[in-house]
Amino acid sequence: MMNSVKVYKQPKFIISIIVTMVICLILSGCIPRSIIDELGITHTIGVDAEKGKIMATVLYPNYTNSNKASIIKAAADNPATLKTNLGQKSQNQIVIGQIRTFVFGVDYSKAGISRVVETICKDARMGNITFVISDSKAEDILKGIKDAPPLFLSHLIETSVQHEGIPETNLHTLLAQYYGSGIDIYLPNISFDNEKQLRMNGLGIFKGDKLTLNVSNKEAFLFKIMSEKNKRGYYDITLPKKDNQKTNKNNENQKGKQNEKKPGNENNFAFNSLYGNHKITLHKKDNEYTVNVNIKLNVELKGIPESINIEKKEDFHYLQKSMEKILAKDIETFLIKLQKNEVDPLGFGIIYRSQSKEWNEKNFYKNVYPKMKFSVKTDLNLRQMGVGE
Amino acid sequence: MELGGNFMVDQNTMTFEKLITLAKKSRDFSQIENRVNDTKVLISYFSTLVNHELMQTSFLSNLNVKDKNLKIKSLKDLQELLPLSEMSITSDIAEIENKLYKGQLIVQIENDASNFLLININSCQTGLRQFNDSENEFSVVGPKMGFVEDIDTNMNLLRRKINSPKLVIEEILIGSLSNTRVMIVYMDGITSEQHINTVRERLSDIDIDIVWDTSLLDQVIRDNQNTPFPLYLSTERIDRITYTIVNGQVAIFSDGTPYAISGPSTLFDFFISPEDYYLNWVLGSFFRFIRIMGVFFSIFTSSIYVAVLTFHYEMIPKDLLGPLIESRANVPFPPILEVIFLELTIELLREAGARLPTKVGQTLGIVGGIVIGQAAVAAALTSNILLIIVALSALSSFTTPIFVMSNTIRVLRFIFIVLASCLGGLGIILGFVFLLAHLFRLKSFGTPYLVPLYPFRRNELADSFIRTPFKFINKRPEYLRPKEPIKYRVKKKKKTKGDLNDE
Repeated sequence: MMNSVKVYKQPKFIISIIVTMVICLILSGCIPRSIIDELGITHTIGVDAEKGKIMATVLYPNYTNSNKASIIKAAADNPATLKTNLGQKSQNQIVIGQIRTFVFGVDYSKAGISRVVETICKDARMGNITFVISDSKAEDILKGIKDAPPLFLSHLIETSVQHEGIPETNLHTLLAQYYGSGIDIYLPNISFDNEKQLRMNGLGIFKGDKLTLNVSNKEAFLFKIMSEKNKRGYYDITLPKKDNQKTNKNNENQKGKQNEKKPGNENNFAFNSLYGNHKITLHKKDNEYTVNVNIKLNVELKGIPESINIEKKEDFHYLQKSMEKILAKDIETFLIKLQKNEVDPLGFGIIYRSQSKEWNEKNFYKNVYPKMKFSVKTDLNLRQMGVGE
Repeated sequence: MELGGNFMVDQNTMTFEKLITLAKKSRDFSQIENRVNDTKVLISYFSTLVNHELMQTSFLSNLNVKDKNLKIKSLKDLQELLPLSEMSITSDIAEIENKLYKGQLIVQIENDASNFLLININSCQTGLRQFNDSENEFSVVGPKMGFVEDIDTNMNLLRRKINSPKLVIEEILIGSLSNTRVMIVYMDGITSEQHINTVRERLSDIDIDIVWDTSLLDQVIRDNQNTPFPLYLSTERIDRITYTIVNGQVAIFSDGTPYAISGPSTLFDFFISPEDYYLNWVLGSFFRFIRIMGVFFSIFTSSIYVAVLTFHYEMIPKDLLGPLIESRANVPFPPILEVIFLELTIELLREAGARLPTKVGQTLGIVGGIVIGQAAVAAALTSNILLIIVALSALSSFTTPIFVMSNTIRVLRFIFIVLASCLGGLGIILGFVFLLAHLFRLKSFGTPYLVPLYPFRRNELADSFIRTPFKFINKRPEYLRPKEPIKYRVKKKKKTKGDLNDE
């Protein structure tokens, strides 16, 4: 009957199925099970240097009961032992697969972060985590956010990066900067302010694997618009007084108000950067290198000084020009500051390397970089003024 | 050979007397002696099979001839007397036996002992339902008619839909005890001869006692006996079977069941609902796409849940981590037991719902589902999130229009759950690879099961994941090797001159 058509391969097929099933069952013994509610899943780890040892502080939320986070501390000479030492202090197996944020304490980042970075990049369980440094000990930071929601730090950094003008960093950028030549590591800095509130506090810039320079939030924004596609963020500008300020009603009012000592500076205002682009090029002329920084920004004005009537063409022009001038000057000052501290987080070395046949990192930073000149051009497009806040 | 020989001898020695003696053993066998103007007439029949009303009005009353001069000399004379259409004179005992048991009257007259008049007045409508709404395959838009248990009605319905001389209905008898009429239906000049021959050959090879349903034929003639996948489309809807026949498939009907099967079919045929064509192509495509997504959802979600919660905690999105752990916090079982417990509960509910009387079934389904689900969560036997996942995947398995296919999907899910608990994500991938390899090898009447994906047929993608407008699907699928490739011609729309209304 028609069975003769298809019966011929059945026994082999069944045997192969049985063999596969058996293999599946046997092999399944090899995989370590990690059932989700039996793990100590940590989101934040702090690393400090203490008495010549690496000290890790782990903050892990207790999702299963009462939502209270626990803190475990352990010290060791190498990162691998550290994990065991931490595990010995926890009721659950501490796992690192869900780590979102890595905090380096100030001592540790000044001493060099290479040991931890090199260990982390070899662990496939790690996702694309964010690294931050802090002005104090990492342990203090973790203790301070113990009562916050489990992902507080991670969300804080994420929001600051997206909206508040902090440059984006993660494991990938860190490794690229760490192993790449011609660029230095930069990591966001967090610290507690006077009211014990955690805040982003600029950037920490490394030379090699050691922290050498801290820059402010304002400079971090300048850094962001020179390095990233996402240029969102606020920048505040203090307008110089107009030389030939006409005495009109507006001005009198303003003076009157100034006499009343309103809080804040009348000539200080902020703009919200929306989008734009940047271009950094390197030019060689008579053995002298000039870095050309071109920045185009579309900005939204927030609360302009009362002395300026934006509907007037000349005022508008004046505002735009002076904003561009101030921004360009700030950027140049910032670049010179970086140059003086011998750090290169913007990667001028990479641009240089792409343009010259010979590349020697030491030579570049010793001889070329300190002599570089900067020319900054900014082009601001003011839009959406007068609407909103 | 020997068996066949014996059979033949048996047939030859069968005489009419023996036939009658055998039949007399049954209570419902009757014989009436009547006289038509001195001629003795003997009528034998099964009283349970004949239509008594027809017998009274058309047969017995006409035997009472008023013309006294009329002489009945032969069966021909008698036949002329009767106003019935289905009559035949024969001397073949085998045929007589066959017809007698189908409810025909056997009429003898005394002058002619060797010939018999067979009159068909059987009551084929007795015991059949009067309505033909499709019971299990609903559609909101479009016709709601389905086939019934009577094959003649079914052929009538089919001929009314495909009113063309090209529609050919072949009949063969299958079943040594049931002698069921099985019809092979195809379009002459459209359907490939190869497929028709395959169906004929496979059906005539069947040796079985009773044909319960076409699904039984399906299982006997299918190309691979061990696959959980249905290889032939089985449906009770007229429009669906019409669509397959018109496309160039061969349909098989059998007496006594509203379900017809048709092949060669592909995996995609099972996710097509007639409604896809009754709605505009945008809506139709969307709903079909949702249905196909539902299949993947149904097969993979519970197994992914098991794999992730047992092995891959790393890949849980950070915002989902809290809810997942919290809902599982008090569950004492590993995820695999938790899932199997819930899946089995749902299967039990489904099975109970199918067996229980309609009115009770609904109540029990709702109450049972809610109460059991809630209680299981409250008693910390399962987590809330899993309850949602399992309920959703059960729900999405029911979106498949063909019932047999949705069963397959539900069974497949369990294999994946076990694999996921053994090997995690690797297990799921392994299972998927096996599933694909299996699907690639499957054939339906010798035609690959996974076209147009494998072998890849670009032209036929127009009616697979999405349903493109009718102007793109006017060709019959190539894998069916139709003799006439075009279903209908698409006219180009004439551009009309600008009118005010055109704006």
